Amino acid sequence: MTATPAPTTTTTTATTTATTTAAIELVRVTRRFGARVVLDDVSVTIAAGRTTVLLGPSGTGKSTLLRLATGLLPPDAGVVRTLGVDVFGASRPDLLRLRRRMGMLFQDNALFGSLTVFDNIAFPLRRVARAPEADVRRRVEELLSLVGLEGFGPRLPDRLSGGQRKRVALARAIALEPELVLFDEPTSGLDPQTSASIDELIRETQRRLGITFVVITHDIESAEHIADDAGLLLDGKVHIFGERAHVWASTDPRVRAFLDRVPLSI
Amino acid sequence: MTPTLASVSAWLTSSSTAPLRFFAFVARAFAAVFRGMPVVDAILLTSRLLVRSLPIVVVVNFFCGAMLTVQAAASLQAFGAANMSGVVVGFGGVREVFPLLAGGALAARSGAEIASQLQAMRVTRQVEALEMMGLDPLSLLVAPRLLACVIGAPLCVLAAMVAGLVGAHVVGAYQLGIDAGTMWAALLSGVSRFDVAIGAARGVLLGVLVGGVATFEGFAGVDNDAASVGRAAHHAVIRGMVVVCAACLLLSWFIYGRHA
Repeated sequence: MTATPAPTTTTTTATTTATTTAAIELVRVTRRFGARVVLDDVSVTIAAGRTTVLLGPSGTGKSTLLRLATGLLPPDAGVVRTLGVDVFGASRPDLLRLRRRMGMLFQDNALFGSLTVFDNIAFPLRRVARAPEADVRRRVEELLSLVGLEGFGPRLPDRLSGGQRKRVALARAIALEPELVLFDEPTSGLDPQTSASIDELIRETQRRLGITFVVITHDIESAEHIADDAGLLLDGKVHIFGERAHVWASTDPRVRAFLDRVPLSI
Repeated sequence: MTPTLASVSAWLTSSSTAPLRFFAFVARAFAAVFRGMPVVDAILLTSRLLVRSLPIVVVVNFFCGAMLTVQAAASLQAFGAANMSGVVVGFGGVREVFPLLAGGALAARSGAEIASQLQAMRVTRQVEALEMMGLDPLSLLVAPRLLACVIGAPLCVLAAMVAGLVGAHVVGAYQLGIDAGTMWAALLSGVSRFDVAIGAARGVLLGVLVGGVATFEGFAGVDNDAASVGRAAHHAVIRGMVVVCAACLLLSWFIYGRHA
């Protein structure tokens, strides 16, 4: 895994594993919203087959980074490669094909409110994979079992708790057996116990499937539990990036302030 | 450039390019009809549109036909020709007023519903979820709604014509005391098959416009906050009605303006 932090920041945290392939690679990417620079000349490589957590305070460009990686948002400058595909150099059909190799769990789950839990999970299988109905049923039951929601198929999403909705969203995200799953604040708005169970589910699912998980969060406890690798985004730059233990052992004052939850002077 | 000038400049740029963006969006949405649009969804949405909009269209036009008859009779009374009020109502109603009101009712009922549905799906990231599955939201969400409007609007216009004429007949025959047969004959005397066909064709155009405005407001907006759902519905109704009125005026001028 290779990380290229901003020149002014700690570089000792970057570690290298030459044999791992990149799931996501950002090369000198800049993204602005109006006059505000959200990502400033960011270069980072996220390794395949591991769980990488990107941390940072609100508004530091974590979600923007995910949206760039999926092609939902174009950069102002730089190159984004996901699963080896140049996201913004790819044709529309190639981009759609690339997205079918990814799954995404949205912060608000983005479940289809008019469809049952079963139909939500079956949706990509029916519409994208065009799988026979018998296969769809078998796969959905298997996924419901994987996320611990056996028997919840006929319910509508608004009849579920926040944690259960998150589980359904995860089941839908991995329904097509993607190579890469992106998580946008997976424990946001959940109570501590439910958050812990979602963390456990993420950890367990990644272990079972062996695919790449990229999680963005500002939940430090959650990050510590699920991350193989971690990065901290500050002021539009990747301030530190490396293996979790390495990041957590950092003595950089800004990293320590974030990880130790030192209150900001307001 | 000061912030005020910059915002005025941005507004002018945005306003001047809005029609172009609108037509480009509608063209892409129509192209999406032939790119894997779910036909079952289109049928269900058309049925839903008719179930929800037709009652309003019928009621509004029934009352309108009745009111036009009262006023036509009052104005013709001075010439002793109150029993000819049906001619005026049949002529003007079928050609102009009933289709216009049908378009307005469609924009108010189904236009608002379509815009708020699509915007709510955008706010809750359901549209992005579809994109992330490698699916085309234009084909799945926009195209069936647009097609529902294009199919449903002419039926609404035809229903509006019938309801308006029935309303006129009821008031003419039962309130104003005009002979029922004379009233029907007067109402239908000014209406030709050509007018009905033009009305249906006008309905198709109104469907494109109402559906186009509603899907554009609901789908192509840049805001993603909760309030944007209300704004999308509001814009769909107001802009839909303005577009319907402008289109009816232009059509009227092109079709009837030179040889009324």
